[in-house]
Amino acid sequence: MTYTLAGPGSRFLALLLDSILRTLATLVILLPIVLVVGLTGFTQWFQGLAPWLVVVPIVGLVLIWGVYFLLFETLWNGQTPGKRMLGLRVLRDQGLPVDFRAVVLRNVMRLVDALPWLYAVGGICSLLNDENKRLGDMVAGTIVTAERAGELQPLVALVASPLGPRALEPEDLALLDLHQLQEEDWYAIETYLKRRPELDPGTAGRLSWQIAGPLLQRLGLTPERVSNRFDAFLEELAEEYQRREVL
Amino acid sequence: MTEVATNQATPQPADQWDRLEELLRRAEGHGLRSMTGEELLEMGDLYRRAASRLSFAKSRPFDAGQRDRLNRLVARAYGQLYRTAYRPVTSLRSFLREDFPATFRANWRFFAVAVLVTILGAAIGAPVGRSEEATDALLGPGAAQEMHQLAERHSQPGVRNWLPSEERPMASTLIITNNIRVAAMALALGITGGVGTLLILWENGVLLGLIGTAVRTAGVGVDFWAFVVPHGVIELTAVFLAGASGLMIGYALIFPGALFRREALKLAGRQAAKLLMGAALLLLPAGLTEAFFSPVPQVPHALKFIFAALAGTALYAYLLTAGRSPEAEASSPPLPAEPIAGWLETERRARLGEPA
Repeated sequence: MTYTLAGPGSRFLALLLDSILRTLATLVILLPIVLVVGLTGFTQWFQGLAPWLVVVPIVGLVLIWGVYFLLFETLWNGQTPGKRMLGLRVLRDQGLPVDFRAVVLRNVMRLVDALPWLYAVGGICSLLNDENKRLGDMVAGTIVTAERAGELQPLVALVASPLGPRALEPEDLALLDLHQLQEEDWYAIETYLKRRPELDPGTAGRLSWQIAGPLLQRLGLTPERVSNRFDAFLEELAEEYQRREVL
Repeated sequence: MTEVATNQATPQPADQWDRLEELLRRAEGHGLRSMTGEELLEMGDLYRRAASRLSFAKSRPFDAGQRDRLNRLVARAYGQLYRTAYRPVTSLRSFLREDFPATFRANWRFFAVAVLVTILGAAIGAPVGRSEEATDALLGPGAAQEMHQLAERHSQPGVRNWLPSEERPMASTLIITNNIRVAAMALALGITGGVGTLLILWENGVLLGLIGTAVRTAGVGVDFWAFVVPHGVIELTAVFLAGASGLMIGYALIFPGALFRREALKLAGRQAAKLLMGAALLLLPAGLTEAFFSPVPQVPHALKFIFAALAGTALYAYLLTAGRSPEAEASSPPLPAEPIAGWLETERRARLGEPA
C-alpha cells in the first residue's frame, strides 16, 4: 500500500477553511450575546441573569478554539471539516487510523507549530522532511494523506466503449500468445489508450500503427489480419490482457 | 436486505471492487456500527481479495489506473478494519486506573526534575522579592509594583472575598482552560530540547517565591496561602506532570540513544501525552476548587489547609500506588510504561537480536 501525502498548500488551505468555520461559529455564539447586552445593558445581563448562563457561551467558545481539532480528528477519523472538504486525512505512520493520543499530541504541538505567525515553524518544518511533517506530526507519529489526489482512471473505463468495428474476434484473441509481448509493450498500449482522447484522429491513427506494427509481428499477425484497425486492435489487446489476468 | 441477497451470488471480478467501495463509503460515513455482521465479514473478505490482487497487480505492467484504485481501496479498508474500537468510557477508566499512574511512576525522574527546577526558582525568587529593583530586574519592569498590589489586595478587610460568587462559574471555566493551555505549552515546548519547558517551570517557581515574600512582607501570608493551597496542591502537581511530559520529549530529542531521533521522539511523545492528559484531567477539579472553594470567605483557614492536606495525600497516594493491587495486575495485562532508558535498552536488544 502506498499513500499520497498532502502537500503544504492543501494543508494550509484546509487550515484556512477550518479557521473560517471557527470564526463563523464564534460569531453565531457571540451575536445573540451582543444583542442581549445591547438591549438590556451589560451589568443587568451579567448579574441579574443566572451567572451559570455565562458559562454556556464560554464553553462554546472553548469548544471552538480549544478542542475543535481534537473533537473532529477523533470523531471523524482524522478529518476536520476543512480536511474533509479537501480530501485530506490524518493517519498514523503505519497507515492506521489515528487514536486519541496521537490527536492530542499533534494538536498540542500546534502551539509551537503556529509560531510565530501563520504556522511558520510548522510550514518550514514540513518542507524540510520528505513526509511533509510539521512538528506535531513528528511527535505524534502521524502523516496527512491526500485521499483524492491524482486519482488515475482505470484503463477499463477507457476501453469500455469501443469506437468502431472490431479488429479481431474474441475467439481469435483468446488464442494469442501474449507472452510474446514485453512490459514496455503493455506500457506503450496503456499510454496510448490514455492519451487517445486528447489526440486528433490523424495522430491517433499514425501512433496506433507505430505501436501496433511491431506487436503484430511478434504475435505472428499481419496488418491485414486485423483489417488495418490498429486502434481497435490495441484496445482489444488491453481487454484481453485484463480478461486473462482476472481469470 | 436485498443487498445481502445479491451478495450471495459470486461477485463478478469487476463488480466486487465497486461493492467494496460502497461498503467503505458506508463505514466511513456512518461508522462500523451501522453495518451488519455479514457486511463486515464481507468487507474483510473483499479487503483480503483486494490486497492480494494489489500485490499481484504490482508485478504487472497493466494498468496503473486499476492499481491506483486497488491501492486506495486497500488503504481505506485497512484503516477501517484495523482501527481500535472507540470506547471512550472504558479507555478513560483504564487510563485512570492503570495507565496514568503507571506512566507517572515509570517517568518519576522527569517529574522530580520538574519539581526541583520549580523549587530552585522559588528559592531564588523568595530573597529577590525583598528588593524591588531585583524583582524588576528578574521579571521585567513593573513586576515589583504588581507584587505589591497583589499583597495589598489581600491585606484589605473583606478582600478574601475577592471573587464574587456571581463571577465564579466564569472564573472557573477560564481558570481551567488557561491552566490546560499552559500545561499543553509545557509539553509542546519540549521540542526545544526541554529548554522551553524548563523556562516555564523556572518562571513558575520564581513567581511563587516572589509572591510568597510579597505577602509575608505585607503581613497577609496566612490569608494568601489559605486561598492558594486548596487548589494549588492539585494545580502544581498538574504543572509538574505537564513539565515532566515536556522534559521527556526534550530528553528523547537530545539523547535518542540507539534509536533514530525521530523514533525516540515518537516513543517519548506517546508516553508524554499520557502525563499531559492526566494533568488536564487534574486541572478540572483544581479549577473548580479555585473558583468555588478557595476564595470563599466563610470557610475558615484551618479547613482550607486541611482540605489541601487531604487532597494532596489522596492525589499522591493515587499516583504512587494505583494499579498496583494484585487483582488489578491480574485483570489486565501489564502496560508498557518503561522509562525512556528502558525503551532504549529494549530497542537495542531487539536490534542486536538479544533476548530481553
